[in-house]
Amino acid sequence: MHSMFIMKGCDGSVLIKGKSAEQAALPNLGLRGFEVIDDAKARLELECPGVVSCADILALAARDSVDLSDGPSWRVPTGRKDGRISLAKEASNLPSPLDSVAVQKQKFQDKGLDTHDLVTLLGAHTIGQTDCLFFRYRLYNFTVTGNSDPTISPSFLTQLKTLCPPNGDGSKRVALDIGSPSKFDESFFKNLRDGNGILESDQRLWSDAETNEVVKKYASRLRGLLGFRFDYEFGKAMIKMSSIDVKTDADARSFITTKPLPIDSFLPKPKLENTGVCSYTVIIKTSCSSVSYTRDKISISFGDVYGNEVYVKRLDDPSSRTFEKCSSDTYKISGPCMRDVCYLYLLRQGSDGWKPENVKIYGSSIRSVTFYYNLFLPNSVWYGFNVCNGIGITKSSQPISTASSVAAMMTELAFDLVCEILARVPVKDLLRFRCVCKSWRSLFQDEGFIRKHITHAPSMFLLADWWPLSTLRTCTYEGRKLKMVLQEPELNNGGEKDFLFKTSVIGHCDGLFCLELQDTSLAVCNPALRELTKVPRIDQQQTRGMRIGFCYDHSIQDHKIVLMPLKNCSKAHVLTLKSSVSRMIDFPWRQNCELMCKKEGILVGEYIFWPLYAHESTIENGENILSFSVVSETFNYCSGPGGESRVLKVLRGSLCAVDYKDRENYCHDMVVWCADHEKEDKGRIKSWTKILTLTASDIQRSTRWQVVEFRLGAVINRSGLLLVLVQTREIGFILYEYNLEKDTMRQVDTCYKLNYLDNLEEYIASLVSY
Amino acid sequence: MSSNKIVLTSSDGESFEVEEVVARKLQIVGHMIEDDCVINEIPLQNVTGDILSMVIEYCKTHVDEEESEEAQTKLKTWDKEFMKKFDLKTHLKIILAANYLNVKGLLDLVSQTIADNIKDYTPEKIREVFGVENDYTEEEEAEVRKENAWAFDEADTPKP
Repeated sequence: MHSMFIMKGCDGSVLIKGKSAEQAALPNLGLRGFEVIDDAKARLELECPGVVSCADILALAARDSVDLSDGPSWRVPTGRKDGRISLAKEASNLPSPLDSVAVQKQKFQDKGLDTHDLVTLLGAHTIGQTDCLFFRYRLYNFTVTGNSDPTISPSFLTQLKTLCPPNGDGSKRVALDIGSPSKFDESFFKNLRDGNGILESDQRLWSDAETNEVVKKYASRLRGLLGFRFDYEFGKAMIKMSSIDVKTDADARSFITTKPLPIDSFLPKPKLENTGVCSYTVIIKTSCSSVSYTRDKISISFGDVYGNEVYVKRLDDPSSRTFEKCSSDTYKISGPCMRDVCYLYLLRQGSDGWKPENVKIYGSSIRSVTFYYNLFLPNSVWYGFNVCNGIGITKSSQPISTASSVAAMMTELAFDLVCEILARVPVKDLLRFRCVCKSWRSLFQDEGFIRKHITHAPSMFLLADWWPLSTLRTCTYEGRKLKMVLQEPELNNGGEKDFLFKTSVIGHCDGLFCLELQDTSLAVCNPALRELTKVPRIDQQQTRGMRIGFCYDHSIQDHKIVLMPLKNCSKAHVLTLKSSVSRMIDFPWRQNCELMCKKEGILVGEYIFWPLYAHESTIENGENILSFSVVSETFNYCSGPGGESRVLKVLRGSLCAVDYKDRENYCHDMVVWCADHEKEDKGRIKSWTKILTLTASDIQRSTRWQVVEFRLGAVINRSGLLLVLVQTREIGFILYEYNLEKDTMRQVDTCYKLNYLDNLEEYIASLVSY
Repeated sequence: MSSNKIVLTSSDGESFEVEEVVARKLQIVGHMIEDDCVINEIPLQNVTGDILSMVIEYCKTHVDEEESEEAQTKLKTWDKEFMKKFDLKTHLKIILAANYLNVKGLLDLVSQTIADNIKDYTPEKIREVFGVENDYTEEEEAEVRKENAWAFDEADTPKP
């Protein structure tokens, strides 16, 4: 009977043997007769294998043992599944003979049983035995003064002391109901009334006001007073208890103990055609400690071990409040017919935040399943559960030992592993692989796959010279070698010649560049795809000479171009590329910042920064940097490191500012500062740290050339290397790699003659397309 | 560091006794240890003995990942040599095992190795290896090839 009270429910787990299994748990030490159940299970397995679970046998045996003792009988609902895990630790929520009534009540309450059930079920102690071990302490040394438990009646105490002498065998068996040990009747309750209860926890039922009432009612039945019929009530309570958290086929699946985890390798599958359509109901409960509602974009994906998957890009409805706190949202979703759902992921994108409590999924082809989150989902990370390992995947494990050809194994290779491999293949080869099949081609256009590919893609450099001729070149940088891959004429630009003459780079993100062409029109270019596309003009008058920023907004999965006025104007333009929508937003224009503002902004995460060039004395509070939040589309002024921060770059994910301090001999010092961003709002800067001061004599010492001038060519964001362009008296321009950690300077092999570099930008060779 | 020994048993019954720190590199085992599900023997049903021994060899080598650049370079060289020992078929077995056993470093390594090996394949070879059916019509395929013609150029050297 104890088996029914395990955390995992009535699943027969008490039968699993082992040192740390339930049988060994202290409250279960008194249980006997496992061999009977084992025997019954063995015989049943011979007759009909795998049909009747140990849990059912245990429940049936409990009934029959009561029945055989002249007790009541009841119909045992069957269909329990056996638990596979049995731990002593989990049996700690079994009521113990040492527990107070309050604790026992709580333990029962936790399982959905009330005080009435508690007393009724403990009535089972009318039959059965216990060990001296469990009550001997009440007989001797119970009180501080060494006396026995005063609730035991004096005559009963003498009787018990004879049965269990102080130094006798602790495992000696004593009937729990001394009056009628083999008869299932109310005598147990009368014993409590008379102070003849053996276990302390039993006897305490008499002293607790609430339980006392129930005990009295059972004990007084013979006297004809209105009370409960113990035999009838007991059967009812048994059925109630044996249904606790029962594992059945219909509803045995909920993952409370499994923790949700971020899945960085997850990628929803592209929709497959010609698969059956099943409908699923998804109920998402939002926690009461979530934000009042969220405007974030919520995506969901779930599936089974056989590769069937449902993916919904947006569950939220931008037009109405969704996922309000303490509420449930229900969705009807159709998708391929699957077996049991074994994984579920949610993706939240946005800045509002959201705390789902649980997600329940049911449908015609699957068992209902509930996944418990109960935490705030991090931004832009697939977060969820995968319990597929160990569920019926013998299918995929077999080919490992039997497959004779590589192809047969590849077919078995889960699609997510194929994606894992393809995400590490260079862009150019993926373009060739577009020809493999239609689903691969669409995979390479899938936003999720493109993002995943970016995390593995190598760094490239874009070299934009503007003198003597404006050219764009792309290079790889490896082992201090700058190797050219592509020059401008190879770009697919619709046949226009000299297209890029006098072009400047406005900004780039994820391998996509925004360029300002000679005629001041804007274009978007992915050198890895060799694509270049002009952006439709917003307004001829407005675009000329504006400050421009280029960025990607994860929350709408689209690129944005932001254009700000140089002259007195309180509005800025935001252009979203895919949707090609242009909007006006408020711009906090400041009188004294209108001069000499650098045109191109630097993108750091989801913020763009522009240095303001106005004279220091005219800038409020030294706020000479302007920031723009890509998602919230708000501007903010912040302080630079002091001095004129002419150049902004990104170093290891933080904004860095470069100052050039003039020296008497014309050649200046280069000072590099690194920003400490506010954690909550990266558009604000807490403080600046000086990370490097480089002087001409430093360079002269580590090279052997006479330095005319030098400047920062590029920052390699990921590895924290600086590329410094040095003009020497002897041999012209040389590029050096400066290692911040080691403070070393080594020459870079550039393969061709460098000119005055206008731009050397590190970027990622990606599949991002406009 | 605990010096507990844990026995890992493969699907074909081969047993490996490893240090707990090594076994923990297999996240599936790590989670079992954390959930107290483990006494000392763990059956791993989806991986055969020959592959499990390779996974364990990787985990043993990566058991204490040192930060220093030298150690990192050394490990990287070892990784490369380790992967070179196996053919594509074995790589695929390893990727399945690394995924099931949840050994992130190995999953990364073997995915990258396979990617490097297949990147120069023609679409025809890819279809053959991955068992993918070509669902383009002849015209459609010609169109896609034309769109991406430059990616088929063998000589990708920059023009002077």
